[in-house]
Amino acid sequence: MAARPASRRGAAAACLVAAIVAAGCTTIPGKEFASYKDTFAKARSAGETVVLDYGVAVSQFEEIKARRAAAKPEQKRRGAPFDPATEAKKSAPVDHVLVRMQAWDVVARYNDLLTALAEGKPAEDLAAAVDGLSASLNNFPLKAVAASAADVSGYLAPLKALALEAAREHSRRQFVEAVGKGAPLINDKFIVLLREDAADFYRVRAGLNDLEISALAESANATGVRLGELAASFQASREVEAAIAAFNAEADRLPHLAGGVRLVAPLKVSARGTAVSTPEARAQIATLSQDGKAQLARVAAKDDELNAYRQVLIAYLALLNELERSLRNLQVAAEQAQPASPSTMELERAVILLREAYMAYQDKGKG
Amino acid sequence: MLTNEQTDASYQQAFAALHSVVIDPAATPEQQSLAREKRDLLTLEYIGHAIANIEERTRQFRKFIGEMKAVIAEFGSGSTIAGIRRLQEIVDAAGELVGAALAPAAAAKTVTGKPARQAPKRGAEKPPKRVPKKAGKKAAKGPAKKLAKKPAKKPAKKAAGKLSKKPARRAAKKSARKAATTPAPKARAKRARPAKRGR
Repeated sequence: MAARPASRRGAAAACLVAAIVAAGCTTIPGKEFASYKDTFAKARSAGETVVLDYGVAVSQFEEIKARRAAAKPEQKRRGAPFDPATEAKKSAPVDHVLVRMQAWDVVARYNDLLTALAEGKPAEDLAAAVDGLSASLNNFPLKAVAASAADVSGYLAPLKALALEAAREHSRRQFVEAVGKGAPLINDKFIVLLREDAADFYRVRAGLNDLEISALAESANATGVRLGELAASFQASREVEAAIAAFNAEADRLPHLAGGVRLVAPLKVSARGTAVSTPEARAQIATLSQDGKAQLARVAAKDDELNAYRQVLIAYLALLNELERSLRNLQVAAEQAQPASPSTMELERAVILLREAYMAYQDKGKG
Repeated sequence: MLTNEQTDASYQQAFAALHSVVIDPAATPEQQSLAREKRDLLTLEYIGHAIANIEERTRQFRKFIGEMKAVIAEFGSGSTIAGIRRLQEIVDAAGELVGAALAPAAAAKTVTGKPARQAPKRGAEKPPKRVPKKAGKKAAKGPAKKLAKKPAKKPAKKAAGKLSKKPARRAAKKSARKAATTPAPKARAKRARPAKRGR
């Protein structure tokens, strides 16, 4: 009979304490956190695409080097210096792409941790653990133990509610603390490294593009030279002049190199022959003109390819900037989510109620 | 040491200069070939330099991964939960031990109509009074199973062994007297009950 008022008191204490704890709890900056996670997912997808493309670029580079080595084998040299660091690198190659994927993955796991803390999963785990212990005690083969466990569980209920709320609050505070520790690492190290990487990724792709575009430009240039030589051997004609003008116009649309150097030199036909162009010569000029136009188009396409890659990197860097900004917002919001302390009066009342419940429990034990 | 921007600018200028020779109709084929070779070599070195930068940065990425793992480990451990789960494991293990010790005794009681008593083991100085705290499941089940299978009065004879029957008989009589006064498993079960404590 004495248990009933005691359990009521216990329940009342639990409600009050839970209300107090809830009133003084830390708030999770949910909007900022959601924004950060969304930006991270996009940045990660873009980052992994970029790093995988780098892996492809390195393979292409290695292929080019191997082809060159096969075409022009170098003479073996005796007395080459021995460098332990270089030899160690050769024996244990590092997968640089994989390490970068792992870096993205570790941040994803950190985000999972933040999500778990924000959702109070540790508190849920705690509840499951407490329930498991209660079940084990209830199933204990000695009746006396099971009976006392059942009795005790009535008194444990308010304490369990309190413990769970405390665990949730602890979880929220850990969220704030984890943001405080992880965010500077991500912003000041990870994102900085990714930006530096992006600059070097562009250099690798630009270099490979230079190798390809210069070869294409040379072909177009050679076609132009042949067209010019053929045009110079005949009298000027409208058709020939039109072909030269078209070639120069296309070549002029191509980007210039440093110092204004042209990728493909313009055609200059200074001296003219006296012979009248034959139908065969005219057909040859038309063919060369068409070939030249197609080759110039390929040069332009190769340049567009690099520009497209540049745009990919620009979009990727914009995502990194957005990621940095959203993480800073989350950090600021988390720092501002300071818990308000419950008033002393309310706390005292809760303590008195809990004490009464405990006294009743002790009295029952004596009886 | 050149910065990345300075390296880029130098490369661009050198590349342009060499390419201008390659496409110059006034240059000899040898000059063009040499310029082409130097231009491509320059580009390969430029790419190699960028790759070296990237590979050097891998070390810093690894360091970052280690630091992030430390943050995750710091906040990912649930010591309270682990403690409760360990406690539950202990309760479960203890429950199994007690259950294993009680179940055969109850069965023996129903077969003989009398409380079972423990059979002294051959060569053993004394029958064990209670299940050791850290004894495993088998240790607890062993004597209990024997009790369940054999009649209450006979085990003393068997336990006496072949070499000397007299001490065995004495031991049997002694244990029979003891069994008559205190039925072993029930008493043990009572001792194990914490029912009176704190109630």
